[in-house]
Amino acid sequence: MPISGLVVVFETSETLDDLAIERLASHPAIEVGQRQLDRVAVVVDSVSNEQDIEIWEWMRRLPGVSDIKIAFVGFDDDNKQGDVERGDTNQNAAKQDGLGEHCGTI
Amino acid sequence: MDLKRRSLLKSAAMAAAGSLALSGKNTALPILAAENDLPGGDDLTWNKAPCRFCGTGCHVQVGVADGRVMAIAGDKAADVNKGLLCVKGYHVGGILYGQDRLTKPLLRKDGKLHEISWDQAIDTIAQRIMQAPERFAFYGSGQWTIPEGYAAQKFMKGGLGNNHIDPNARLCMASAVTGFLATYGVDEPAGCYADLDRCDVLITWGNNPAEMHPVLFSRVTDRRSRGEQVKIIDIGTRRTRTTDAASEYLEMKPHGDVAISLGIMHLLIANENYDKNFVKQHCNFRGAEADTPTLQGEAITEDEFRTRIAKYTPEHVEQLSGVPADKIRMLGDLFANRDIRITSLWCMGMNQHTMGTAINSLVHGVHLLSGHFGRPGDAPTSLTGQPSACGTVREVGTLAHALPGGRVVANAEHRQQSEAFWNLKPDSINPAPGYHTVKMFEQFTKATAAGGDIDTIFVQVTNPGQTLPNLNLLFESKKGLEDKFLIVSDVYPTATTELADLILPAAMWVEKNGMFGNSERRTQQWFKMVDPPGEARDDCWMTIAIAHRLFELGHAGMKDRDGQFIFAVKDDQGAEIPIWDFEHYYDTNVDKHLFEEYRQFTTMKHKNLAPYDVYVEARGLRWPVVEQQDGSWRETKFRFSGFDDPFVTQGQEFEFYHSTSGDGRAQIWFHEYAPPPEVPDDEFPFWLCTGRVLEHWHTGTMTRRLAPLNRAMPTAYVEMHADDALELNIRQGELVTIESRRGTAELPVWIDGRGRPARGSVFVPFFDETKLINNCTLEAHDPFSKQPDYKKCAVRITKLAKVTS
Repeated sequence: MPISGLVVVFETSETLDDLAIERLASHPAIEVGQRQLDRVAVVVDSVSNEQDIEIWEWMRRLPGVSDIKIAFVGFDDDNKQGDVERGDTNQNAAKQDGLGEHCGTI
Repeated sequence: MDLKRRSLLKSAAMAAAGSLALSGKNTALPILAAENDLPGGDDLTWNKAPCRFCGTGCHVQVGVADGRVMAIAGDKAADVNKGLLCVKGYHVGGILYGQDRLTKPLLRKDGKLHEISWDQAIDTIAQRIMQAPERFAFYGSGQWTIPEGYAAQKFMKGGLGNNHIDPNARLCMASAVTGFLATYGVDEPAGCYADLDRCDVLITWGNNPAEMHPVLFSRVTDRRSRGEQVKIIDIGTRRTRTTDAASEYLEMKPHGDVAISLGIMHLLIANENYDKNFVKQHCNFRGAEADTPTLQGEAITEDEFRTRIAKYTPEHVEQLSGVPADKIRMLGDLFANRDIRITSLWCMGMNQHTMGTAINSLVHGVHLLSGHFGRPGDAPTSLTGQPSACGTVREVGTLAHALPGGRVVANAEHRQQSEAFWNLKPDSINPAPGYHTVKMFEQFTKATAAGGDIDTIFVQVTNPGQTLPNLNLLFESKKGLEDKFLIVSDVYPTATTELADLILPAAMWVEKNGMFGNSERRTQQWFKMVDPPGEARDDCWMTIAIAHRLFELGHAGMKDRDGQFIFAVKDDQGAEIPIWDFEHYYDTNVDKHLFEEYRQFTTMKHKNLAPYDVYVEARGLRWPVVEQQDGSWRETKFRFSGFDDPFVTQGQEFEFYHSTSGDGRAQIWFHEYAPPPEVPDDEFPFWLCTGRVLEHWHTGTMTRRLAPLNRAMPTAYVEMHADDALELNIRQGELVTIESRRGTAELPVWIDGRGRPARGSVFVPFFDETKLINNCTLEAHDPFSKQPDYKKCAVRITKLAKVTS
């Protein structure tokens, strides 16, 4: 389950108002941190990669948001964030004679 | 993940985000204290490393717990990225943990791969080399670390006396090298990333830094967001995310860049508003020889230059390039304005070009002729796509014609110097350049009876089965050639391991010590932080182990002039450490030994490097790095500029101290425009351009194993103009066949997607191993750099099926 440290940048410092902070804080997976002029630090603690992407898109669509900068990402050894989806992207291993059976032994 | 660690990671995430946010609006990028305020603890330790991906050279902080990379944060102390990372960079830790890591050496017998021991693997390679050392070739990479490339270089050119060593960087930046050499007599950019903080105008020449070097591009867009006026002019053959941020988009025909640069110089000359003082003091004019053109060319007078360039009027340039004449005049006026500062950026667009050397030289010439050179913000700067294309390929010289530190095998004095540094017998190094990449694979995939004189290739840290042009000719035709033997060291199965006879599992990134050299001459160092999986081992160790097996077998080249092993490392008591035995490889820091030896080579071309231990303490240093009277080491931001470069003669404003004309001057070249080698016709009516995407790095072998990135960009596609699609009755998402004279690829269509090509042209990214667009590309290459042109060839599009889900 990914943990990301992000900076949400707004178009102007005026658009980063209390309502915008409230909107961000209303999401249960988002913790709002320090705020500086047009930007605010957030931590996203999501339950899955899918939710991580959904939250990212949700934040991008919020009124006044112009950019999201990444400061940190934590990897999760439980759901193997770094794993390729076999059969989807790792077709080489599958089609190479005998190679697939030698992979994934870690 | 336990709650304690999760809580710790959340604290670290908030600390990193908070400090980035607090950098505030008054700075383009967060400029933060160097102290590391990331929370650590008994079970989470942090250390620095450069990112594994592109040539920008961002630094990351790597959080490790229980022998596993657990977290990545942008490194606030790094001048390159000042705490920022791109979407690939912040996922970089995950590349270690794909399920299908290669973990054991595998030998193909009777069409099947069988596990063998490392000892058998090393022996197999050594025996093949011993049988015919001259028929062996080493194909490496701009992802080789500096010590890995240096070891390979010494093994081949010093040990075997064999110059058939070349890197994949031949395919991505060789034309930048020849452009710098032709212009300044020495390779690599004079400026640095600080130019992006000072320029008034940024011109991207066939370059898409918004996606390919996003952290660098953000230096400019952040300046704009805080109200600074920075004009971005994007010159390209398709609209990209860089275009979206541009003030002007100049859409050119393929090869139009050559005409545009000639047109700018024509205007500067015709309007007499070039920088006459700068040219008079610091430049010569140069043209290609009529009979046998060389990289040095021949001197021409300013009058001759004027005569040759006279025909490149804005109207003529419009015909050649497709860019309106008034826009050429706009560019001419910009360069004529000495009150502004102009930075040019380029990467593959100008390098993967059959006139690559010419267009590189011409853009340098535009800056020199206009005097937009050498002041912060005034710079012609090439970027690299790989993390150590500069450090390992260009500086260590892992090219078929080169020796370390800017030397070449064809120069007797350079060979003697190298033999002395390596303590080798005289004439150990072969004076004849080896095969460049395209030639190497031509000779490997050609039957021995037909003259194919390379029978074994060792590939490290790269994937030529996906990246070579014209794959059917240069790679697939290896099939069925029983006496040809392909050895591949890699971390995952790839298109190249598909035809490999021997596969070696490699350690990667922070599973080993390393050093990279980025696009701005910055040398970077990191330490091993976690163990590689299974039996995966360092590439550098593989080279040394093979060399030592050859030493045991009696190969004379593996002994120095004192009879010692050429990679011998001794402890403080003078006893040899058996670094060829992996159990003892980390008994000492092999990287440090190799780097200190390599450092000796770097002073001839004034690419001076500091001792290894200085880099341990730094987030990289830009060469030349020179020791000061107080014992500290000073880097150089602006080469050839008297205010910063310690090698410029005191009192000189500029000095090109490796000038090919021997007079301290740079060369302003004239090259005649020539059309591309293959252009669309009735049979193949579309231009094909290939390239990369934000989410994936090169052939996707690492980023395709990162679920978030792969989901964001799961498949390659073909970008088409809406009107072309309409004309061919092709709808969004439909499958088409792209066919050239060399091969085919099947892809879904993306109409007016992220990139928007001009009518009559299509774009396909090359990251997808299941859709090999390099079946179609052309192996035609620049005559000097030998770099192929992946940006333009002729194809036809055939509708294949209905809309797919």
